[in-house]
Amino acid sequence: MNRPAPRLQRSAGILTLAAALIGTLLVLGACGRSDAPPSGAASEDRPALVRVPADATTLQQAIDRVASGGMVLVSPGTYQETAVVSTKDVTVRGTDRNQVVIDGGGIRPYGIVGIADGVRVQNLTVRNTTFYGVLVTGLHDKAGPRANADNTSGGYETFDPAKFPPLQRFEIDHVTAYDNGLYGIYAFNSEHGTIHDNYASGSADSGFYVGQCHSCDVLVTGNIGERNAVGFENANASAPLYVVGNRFSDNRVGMTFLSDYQEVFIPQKGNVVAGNLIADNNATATPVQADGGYGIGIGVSGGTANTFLRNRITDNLRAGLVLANTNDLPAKGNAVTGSVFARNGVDVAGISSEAYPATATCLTGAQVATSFPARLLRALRACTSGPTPAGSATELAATSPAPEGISFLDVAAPPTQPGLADPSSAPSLLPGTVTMPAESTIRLPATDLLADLALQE
Amino acid sequence: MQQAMTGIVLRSRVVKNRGRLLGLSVVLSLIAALGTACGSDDEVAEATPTRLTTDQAQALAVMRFRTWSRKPATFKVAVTSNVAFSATVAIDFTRGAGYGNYQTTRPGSDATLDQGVIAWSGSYIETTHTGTAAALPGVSAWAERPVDTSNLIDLTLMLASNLGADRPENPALLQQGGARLLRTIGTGDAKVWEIRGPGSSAADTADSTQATSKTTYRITPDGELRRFEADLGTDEPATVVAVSAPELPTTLPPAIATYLRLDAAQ
Repeated sequence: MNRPAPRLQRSAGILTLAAALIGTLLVLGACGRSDAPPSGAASEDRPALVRVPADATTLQQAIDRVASGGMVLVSPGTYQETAVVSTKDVTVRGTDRNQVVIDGGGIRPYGIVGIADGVRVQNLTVRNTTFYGVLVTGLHDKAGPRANADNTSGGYETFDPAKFPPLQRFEIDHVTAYDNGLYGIYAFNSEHGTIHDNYASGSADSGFYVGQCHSCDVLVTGNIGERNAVGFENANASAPLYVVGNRFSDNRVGMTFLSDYQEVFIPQKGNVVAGNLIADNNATATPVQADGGYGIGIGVSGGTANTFLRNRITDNLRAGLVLANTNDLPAKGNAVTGSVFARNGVDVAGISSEAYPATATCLTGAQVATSFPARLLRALRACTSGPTPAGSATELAATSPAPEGISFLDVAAPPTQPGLADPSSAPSLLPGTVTMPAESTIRLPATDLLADLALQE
Repeated sequence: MQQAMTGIVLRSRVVKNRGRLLGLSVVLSLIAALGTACGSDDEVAEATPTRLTTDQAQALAVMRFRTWSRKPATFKVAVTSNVAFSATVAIDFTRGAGYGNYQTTRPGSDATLDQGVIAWSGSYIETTHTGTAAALPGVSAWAERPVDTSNLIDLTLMLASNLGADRPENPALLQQGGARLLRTIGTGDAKVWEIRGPGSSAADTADSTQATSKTTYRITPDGELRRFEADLGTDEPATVVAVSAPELPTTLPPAIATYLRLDAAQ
């Protein structure tokens, strides 16, 4: 099959990153689910609450000691370690979001990785890791995320979802993740979870990433992603997945929705992206986006059947929304409804290949004034099932060339963020499914959504 | 001199490959471009290679990122084929380009054959006998030719350009991909690990000495690169050594970027 190179966010560079990341997560040998102790007798020998450093010197010691269903409560301090949560239904919580800091020191690969069902990470800060701040994943061995031994393809091998069932139930909230080398907060091969009220900046790839889940049942809401290469990224993560009421502004690219052959579950489909502020994604003091993406609000590369509802997409230098193909996967059946576009380089751009054009894209009730190419706008408003016009990706990029980037370790630290109201309260078990907001209740965000928590110029 | 620096062309995009997790593999692919003319695979150091510890893998994983972050990034590059080439250069890893002073001698001799200023990108080599790197020779002084990676000098410069990257690599992949500790040099703050790079298909067999990487890195425990060696099939390995070179400009002069067409490439 002749597959032309992707034209938006996922050309060779970023695909290499993705492939390698998958390699990171793949495991050697027979790797089952986490070795979580049962919630019965074995757990009775373990405490339900372990405090750090009062009861255990390190996070990992505390995590290894706590009972299933219990909590590790971390006091203020800087913890120079990595920690893996492999016990079911464990909460790792800081007593002070801004003063409990897990610091990767620019050399350790991650802060906290959850590999057991029901993991919850709350009310703390993770910074300066070389890969990700917080990760929940169903791909692991007993020690945590592992690389694949077959390095001939950079560590990637075909992922077998039957061999690596997704992690079930997770919650990541009130976490500040900044200056991490790949992702700030990352859910991969995980289902039934929420990512809410977090802050991520300085990520060399994306601040928030939900990847590779067929029926995700994931809610991403109330988060701030700024000064990242990409604010929020989705690759092969599909419905039900709601991204609601977030601020993804002042990145190089606000959001991306990607189908990616190097992960399973293509194509990406069926997200509801609503009530988000996606503005001013022209930040210069940021790591470069791997493929030179810059000045883009939302990029859809091979993404399908997504609903973009009542978002405010403004002041992005290159384009507010870009539609492209990934290899032979077209952007198909995406709907933009009730959103406000303003002061973007162009509001909507199409750069798909002639062979794999975007199709069935529908623009209704949206304030959109400009497009690239110019005839695209009329086609989108017509809401036909056929292909939509596209122009040259190179020509579009030339309208706002990407400036050189800076080290992810040098991105400005975030302002103080609000923490949990009662960090010492006992955690409840996470529910089996996520309650999504009713679309009818989601409003167009104000221009200053979450601005009081964002880094001021 | 011009003939001595003529040869094979590296796939120019390789230099700018942002594949962070493949970065060290890119080095191997560059060397592999030489084909079977390289030295034998069983030429290993006398020490018994061992699998990397977590700390060692993490240090190797950030090595290229630390090198990219180094300001100024100045190195002494050396390789000997039919001539002995050495250059003290500043490297712009973001652009995959470098600039500095070079000289050539006959192998085994200190007698200078040639000297001047050199600049390179992933696509072009520029040289001049006029002036010094600090004096910034004018545009008319330069001779230009395409990069040719069958030429060991070009290949060594390309390898040097690839020693920096804007993101860390994956320590787990490096650990499992065949990287091996050859020896530890010094103690305490002076400790340096000598590590053979990844890339062996036999990396996880019982006999780890079968690893076939042709690259060696000396790095500190916090990932600072001190010395890089590549076995290019010559008597002595090509080397890239971190040095202080205050005589060089701290950033690539704009005029040099123009000569190398880097502005147009962006």
